[in-house]
Amino acid sequence: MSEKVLMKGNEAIAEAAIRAGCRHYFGYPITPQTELAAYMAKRMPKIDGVFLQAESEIAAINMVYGVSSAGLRVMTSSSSPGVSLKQEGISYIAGSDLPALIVNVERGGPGLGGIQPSQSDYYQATKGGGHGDYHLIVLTPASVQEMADLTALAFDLSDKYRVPAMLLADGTIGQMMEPVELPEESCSKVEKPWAVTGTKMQRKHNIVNSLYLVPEELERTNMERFERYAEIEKNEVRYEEFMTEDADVCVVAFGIAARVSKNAVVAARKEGIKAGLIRPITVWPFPKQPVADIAPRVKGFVSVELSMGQMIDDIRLACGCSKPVSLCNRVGGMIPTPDEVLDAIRKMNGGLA
Amino acid sequence: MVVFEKPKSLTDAEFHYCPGCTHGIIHRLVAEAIDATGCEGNAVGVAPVGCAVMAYNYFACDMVEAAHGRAPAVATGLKRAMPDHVIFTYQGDGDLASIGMAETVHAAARNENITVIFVNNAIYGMTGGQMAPTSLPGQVTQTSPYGRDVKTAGYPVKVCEILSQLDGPEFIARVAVNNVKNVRNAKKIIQKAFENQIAGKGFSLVEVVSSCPTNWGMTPVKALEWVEDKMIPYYPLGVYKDRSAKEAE
Amino acid sequence: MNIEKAKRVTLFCGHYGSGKTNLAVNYAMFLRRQGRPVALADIDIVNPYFRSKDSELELRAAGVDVISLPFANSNVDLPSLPSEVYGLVEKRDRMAVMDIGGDDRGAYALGRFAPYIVRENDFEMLFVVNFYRPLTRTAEEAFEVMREIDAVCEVPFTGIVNNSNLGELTDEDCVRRTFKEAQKLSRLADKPVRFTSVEERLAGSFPEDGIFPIRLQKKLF
Repeated sequence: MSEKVLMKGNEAIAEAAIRAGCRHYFGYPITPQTELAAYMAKRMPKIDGVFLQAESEIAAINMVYGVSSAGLRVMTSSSSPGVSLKQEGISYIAGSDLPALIVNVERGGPGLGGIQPSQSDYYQATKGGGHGDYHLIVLTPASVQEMADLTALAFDLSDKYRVPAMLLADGTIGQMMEPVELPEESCSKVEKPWAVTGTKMQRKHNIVNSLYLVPEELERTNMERFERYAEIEKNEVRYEEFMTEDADVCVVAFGIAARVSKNAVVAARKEGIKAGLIRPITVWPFPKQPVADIAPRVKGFVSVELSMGQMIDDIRLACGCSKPVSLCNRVGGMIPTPDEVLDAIRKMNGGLA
Repeated sequence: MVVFEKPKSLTDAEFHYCPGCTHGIIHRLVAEAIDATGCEGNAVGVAPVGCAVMAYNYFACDMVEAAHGRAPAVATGLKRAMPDHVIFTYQGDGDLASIGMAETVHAAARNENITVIFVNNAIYGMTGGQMAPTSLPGQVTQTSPYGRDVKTAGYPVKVCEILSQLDGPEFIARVAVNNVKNVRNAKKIIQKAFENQIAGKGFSLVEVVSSCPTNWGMTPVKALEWVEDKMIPYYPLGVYKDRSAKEAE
Repeated sequence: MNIEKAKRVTLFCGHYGSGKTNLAVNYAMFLRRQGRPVALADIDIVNPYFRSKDSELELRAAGVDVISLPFANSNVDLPSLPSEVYGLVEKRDRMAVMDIGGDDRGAYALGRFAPYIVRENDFEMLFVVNFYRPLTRTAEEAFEVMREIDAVCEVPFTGIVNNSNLGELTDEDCVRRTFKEAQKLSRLADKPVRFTSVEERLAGSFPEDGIFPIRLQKKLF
């Protein structure tokens, strides 16, 4: 059989994680990420891995904390309401400088919302989510192939910087099927001398902890962590540019919204409007520089989102509010159509205050 | 012959506990069990949120500090990652029986092969003496200033009685450390809870009925009397479940 | 495709994402084009998105009755089954095409209707396989899924549909390369390969018998 297989986005994450050496998965059932857990439930026992359906999202993320403390690759996945429940654990993981992968296959909210796709957890993912000063490395796949590739990348970056990573997907990419070439088998390339693997009576005990009794010490750990965040902002920004060289209107969109936007950009070009697309692949760190660089050359930006407008703030900040930024959005499980995006591009091209 | 020696698996750090607090005794008993089973180099402990939050400084083995109530979930992750290691949690009553009740019950139901040391002193010590899930009816605390009124605040949670109803756990026992006889027995039972894990038997929880002179507003001696007169009658000591012993009958 | 041989009830079962829904939609349209009264029943309790309901307008326009879960494509995943399915299996007044959820999990939903279907004894129970799906890459793996479904489902399999494809990357070679594996599965399961489904655009490359051309649901992004 050929190297390519036909996979659902959720399955691609699971298989890519296994290939990245993740042998521990903890989750709790929720739509629309079900296939991920189902895949893990089938595969893990066959490769001496651990699949455990936890009693709650809270327990699941704390099991992740435990495995990560032991220095192994580990993940959990959920969808929006479940990811809210995980925030406490995510804050502890960030505060203890542990690597981990958290997958959010977003659905509509707030509250129970609905099971249809959404991007309305952008703030939660990129601006903290839990308590305290911290960031996650947030990757946003726009295809089933990227579900696999970015999963492998997320593990690597997370290990490298000791910062938890989040794969921020949406229900559509999770559910859609596309051909995918799975990444090669790999494993962590980073030494983890901090892991609690037992002293073997040969070293002082390791402590995984986020409590600091002395305020100066807590301040110092926060400062040190933000130096690492600065490194990440310098080295790990990822994005795709599409037809931006001569663009008059710059669309910014990620994930499923970027796929729709790409079609709209092509359609706009056909009617003579010079449109282009910046597709953030990391939304933290956000690709500030490309937005800043293009700002002087364009009439304005169109932020296409499956939310009431969250990423739009980062676009405004990145361009220093030097150009108008309009919002083209659908919410509640709806996805903007290429025509709706095209219309927004036309309006911005016609001059929108 | 050395009569009194610090267990090897305690660090040199000085305990921060109030005078007369029984956490010190319980730490020592846990450390003695680690020493006796020779597992220190292979052990990982999980500290709670509560008065014992800094347990990670006192035990010489590797330690993880868990979020409030989540120690059994963290221990589950550790044990699944390192099945050959000895994983224990050390938790108080608010941590284990209130905010972490779900994690406790489900780790027990899974018969997760870990050791849980549960210190029940019927009060939230760390935050300054609020009502705990195990505070006795009528007990005066900061948040039950007129005494725990069971009509509005409900009844205490009896952890051993609850968990022993589950098919899952291997070993559930309640001990106390208010006198020499009880301390000796506690030492034996805690060691058994570690031996069970090493033998692969499964979830073993030891509840230690304890005292908090500071927040109970009593002298240490009075507090130990209160344990004897009030706590133990409400929380009877004994082995509530011992699957292996039962199967051997 | 010999329409004379079409059974009154045709059921599509198989691994998650093997293409059951798309096949069921195409098969119902095919029967309808032959002038048969036909109803498509979606009893997929597994899949929240991409359902036969997505093709409902097209199906209804062609005169195919559509019976789907009341909450299909809504914002809740409450897989309660519509009572009309009983009418479909009991009344025998129309051809019935049934889209069953993936794996053994999805096949549980069929259990309640099984006695009627088996008693009527005019059914085709098809195992849909796509050898490009990760957990059914080989005949052996596919056979395992087939057996898992068989274990929970009282309607015995009568045949296999080879629906192997790589989405938009599918070409003739890609399909042909799976013929051997399909035959192997057929021997393992002792069930005939009823047909191989190929996208309409490729149908011209397959002059042989037993090819069922299918149309894919429209892609929006």
